[in-house]
Amino acid sequence: MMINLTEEYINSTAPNQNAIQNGWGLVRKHSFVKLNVSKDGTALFGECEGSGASNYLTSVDFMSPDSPVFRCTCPSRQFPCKHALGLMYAYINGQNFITDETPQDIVEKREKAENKEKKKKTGSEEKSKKVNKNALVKKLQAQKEGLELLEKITGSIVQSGLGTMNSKSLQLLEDQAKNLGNYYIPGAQTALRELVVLFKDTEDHEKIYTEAVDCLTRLYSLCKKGKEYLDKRLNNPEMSLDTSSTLEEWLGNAWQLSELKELGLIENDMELVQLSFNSYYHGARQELVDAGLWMNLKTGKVVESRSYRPIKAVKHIREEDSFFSVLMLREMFVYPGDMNPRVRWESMTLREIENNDFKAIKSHAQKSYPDVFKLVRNQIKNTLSDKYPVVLLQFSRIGLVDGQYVMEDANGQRIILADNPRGNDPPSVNLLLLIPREGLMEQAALVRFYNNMDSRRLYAQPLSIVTDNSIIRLAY
Amino acid sequence: MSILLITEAHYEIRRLLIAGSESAVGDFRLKKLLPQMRQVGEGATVFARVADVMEKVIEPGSEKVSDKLLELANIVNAVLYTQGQTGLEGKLDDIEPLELRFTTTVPYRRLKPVVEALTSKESGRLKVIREAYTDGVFKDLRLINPLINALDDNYPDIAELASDILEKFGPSIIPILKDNFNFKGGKGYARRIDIISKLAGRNEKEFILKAVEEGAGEVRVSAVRALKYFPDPEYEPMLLKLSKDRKKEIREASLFLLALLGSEAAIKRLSDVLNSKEGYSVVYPIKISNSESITRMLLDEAERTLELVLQSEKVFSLSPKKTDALPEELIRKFTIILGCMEGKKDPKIFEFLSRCFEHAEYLQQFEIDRSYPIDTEYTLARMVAKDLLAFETNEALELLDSVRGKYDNWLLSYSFEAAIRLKAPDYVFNHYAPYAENGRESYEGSEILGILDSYIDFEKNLKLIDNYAAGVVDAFSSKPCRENIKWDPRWLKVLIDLDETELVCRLASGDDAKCIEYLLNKLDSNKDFNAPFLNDIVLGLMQAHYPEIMEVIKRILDYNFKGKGYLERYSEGYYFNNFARVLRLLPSEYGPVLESIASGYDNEASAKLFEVAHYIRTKLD
Repeated sequence: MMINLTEEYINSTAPNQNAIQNGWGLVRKHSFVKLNVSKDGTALFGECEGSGASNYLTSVDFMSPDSPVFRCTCPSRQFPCKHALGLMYAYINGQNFITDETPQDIVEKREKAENKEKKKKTGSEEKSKKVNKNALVKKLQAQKEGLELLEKITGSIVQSGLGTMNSKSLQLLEDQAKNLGNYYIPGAQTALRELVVLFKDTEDHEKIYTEAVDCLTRLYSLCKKGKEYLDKRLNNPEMSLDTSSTLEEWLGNAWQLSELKELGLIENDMELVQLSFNSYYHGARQELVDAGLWMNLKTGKVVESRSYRPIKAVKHIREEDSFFSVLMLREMFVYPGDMNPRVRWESMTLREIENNDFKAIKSHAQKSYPDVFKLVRNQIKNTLSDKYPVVLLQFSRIGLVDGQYVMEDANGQRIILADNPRGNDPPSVNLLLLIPREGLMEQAALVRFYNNMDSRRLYAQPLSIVTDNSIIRLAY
Repeated sequence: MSILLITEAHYEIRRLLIAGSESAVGDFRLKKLLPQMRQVGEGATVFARVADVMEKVIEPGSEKVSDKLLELANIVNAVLYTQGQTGLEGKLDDIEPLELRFTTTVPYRRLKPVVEALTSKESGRLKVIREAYTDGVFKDLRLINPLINALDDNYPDIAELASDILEKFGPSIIPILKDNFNFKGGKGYARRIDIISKLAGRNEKEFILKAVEEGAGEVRVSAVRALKYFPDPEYEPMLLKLSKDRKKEIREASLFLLALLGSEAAIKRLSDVLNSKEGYSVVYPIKISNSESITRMLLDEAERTLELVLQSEKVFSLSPKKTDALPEELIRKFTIILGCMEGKKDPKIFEFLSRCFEHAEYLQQFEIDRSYPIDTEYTLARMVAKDLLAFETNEALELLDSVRGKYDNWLLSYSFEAAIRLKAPDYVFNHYAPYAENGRESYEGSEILGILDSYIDFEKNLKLIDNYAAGVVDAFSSKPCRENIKWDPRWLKVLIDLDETELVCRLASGDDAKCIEYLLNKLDSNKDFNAPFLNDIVLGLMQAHYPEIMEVIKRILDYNFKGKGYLERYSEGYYFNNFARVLRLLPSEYGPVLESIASGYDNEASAKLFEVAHYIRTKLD
């Protein structure tokens, strides 16, 4: 049997928890009247009772093992639908799949897909190179105008003073942020909305003024650096996109995978292990964000996968999940970024995690705290950088000093562990009271650094502890 | 030195950004910092740069001051971001190891609905949390913080459920409950104390005493109550003081503790309160106390009070209409004393009660104010009867049964209850059934049927119990458990004649053909899922082992599903879900039949029926 399905794999394809439960429901209700597997073992297909008059024909095609194709005649627009999921669950549940000829429609669709692939490789590559120069210049000019407008808005806030912020002025800012949508700079819109959200979420403004000042410096830097960059590109529209900074992302230009490929921002044949996962609401973007932190087993780099789901479309977009196996990627796209760049992939396979993998992860943990602090400080001092870098740190002990949680390395260097009050991770520090004893000694911890400007301290929030045979997740 | 300087600069910049950039021009404090900044700048270029921009803020010239201020903020922030301190001096203590074995293997999508149920305010949360508990999801570490968060929930059922679950972790959970404890916190923190004290009692003495001292509001009340786990005579002075506290709950809690201590001073305080307007607050403490000295005090007070009460009996016997002979305080005090006696087993108490009972006719005149915050009766005489019933000895029960038919039957319900507990089923029926002949319209009928309401219930295996935490909540009815009472079969005919549907259902038996006939007839007008007696009738038929029960169920389902959108009619299938819970009690051999019935329907409900059929088939009988 070519197909090596596990429950985790099937769950990872499911768009959300409901689909998983519904899929299993079909299995329990014995709704499948036919269960088949193709002769060469590359496809599962079957017939399922539906709420309509006729049955649904479902199939899962593993011709390309790292990107299966789900097909079904049901009206659902989700892929895989509950029928396809049910088919796979039935398979791992040990139900009897009768071997049969691959159905004609699957054969035809495979051919079609192959032809499409061939065409893609030969013909249409030329199209993408021919960028409409005029349109680009127009866009760049509009973006520059937008930044100039943002500069004025920021200047006006500074003139009146943060102390004058009230519901009226916040409403005005929201309207202005919305208006910036006409200038192709969604990133700048988000940056402005950050300020608005900050004031809206907290009644006692005294508590957030320091953070607000931070926001303002970001707006200032975005406008200054952004305008410089746009001027450069206007002078030379053929110039390739900047990958040495995250400025493109700050402006709001969404990187296309093809662009990343062209710029060589791609890595091949690696294995990733997810160390932590979280899903949170981004108030300024008005989107849900699913974020996974992964370690590259070979290089030891900690990277982040990110999936954005606009609130309005939440039901239609796949919800990501915690992942417990080892991810095997042929191709991984790496976005321009700081210590923990964003990554993305289109297809994957997986294998079960083993003790050797935990050892490999631990071996990549950073041992020298002073070196790490230096790297972190170096990054966060740049206004537009990621202010909350993530590092896997080796530690000798985690304990308490005067009631504060502290992590110590082999040389007695220490970092205070605390929850980031402005962060998106769920509170995790007090959970250290509940993890097994061995988790607090001679292990590696995935931590997220943050700098508290008011107390002038650098803290770390623990997200996971990696031992010799497990990952203790304090977030998700 | 330079760090302090840059920190000060940051503070001033922040101030100016709050106040507005106009006030930055010529700002006095920035001006003061400038020369020092220049000086440090001679050795470090970044400080020189800061000084340059700072100067441009103070004297902008043609450039916009807002722009310059932002530039200054940017550069100063950048410096500060490199200055965050990391270390901490002091001894590194170990975190105490725990016995608990938490996992972190539940994926996010499975945890999310539970986390939301514990932290949001939507409906349907209780069910989600309970199901997660029975599925074992709470072994996951990530649910601890949301659980603790739920202790503060506005909806008490949720808070109590969270409390139950946390308690089940045992004493190992205590450190995390104590972590970051807010002694002036709200109900959530009070509940933490409840859990901690219940799990550890004496072992957390210090912490609880601290809460008594430093706590406020609910936290303090819980802390005082928690002293019951380690009552110590050294707390007597503190408790005596607390019994005079402003807050009522504190006063009541400390009286309870004083009763536990049972010292001379404590008893004196209890007796003082008993004689005051707040007398009812000693009822619970005295009731559950085993102390002989407290019983003695109680009897002393009782004798004194009885004497006063009986003083005007002579007046009453001469002219029975005169009922305003007793002052309100005296009635109240006597009620309180009788309340304290309920459930006590001391023979002297029985002796006292019997003596009171001799004056039953007189005591019946005095009505008790039902607004007292304790469990009372309508009159003093009934209150005495209540105590006698609670005494539960054969002698007490005989005494109650013996007054059947006397005193215009105003003690009938007590006589009936006593007889039920003491006498054989046929005696009970022969002597008491006649009173029910006019049904609830008559006083006697309503007394008899009222007692039957609280005694008669379905057989144990037909009671609807929640599976959560091994059968705790019966969501359908909260009848006290009265098993082991045998009923004379003739009751059934009486109840059928009186059309007492609920009682007939609960007493239903397969030996009585008339009973089955009655139930089937009633079903005709109770077929809707939301009909008042549907579930009772089906349970009754099940109890009677009616052979055609599945046909009946099919008829009911057909009837309800024939219309479109029935689920919308009945608010998201709430009533259907209740019916489904009844079906779950069917014996396992009916599983396949139910499945074949379910396959005849084609709606959301049929899925539920399949679930039930599966459950029935696989349950262990």
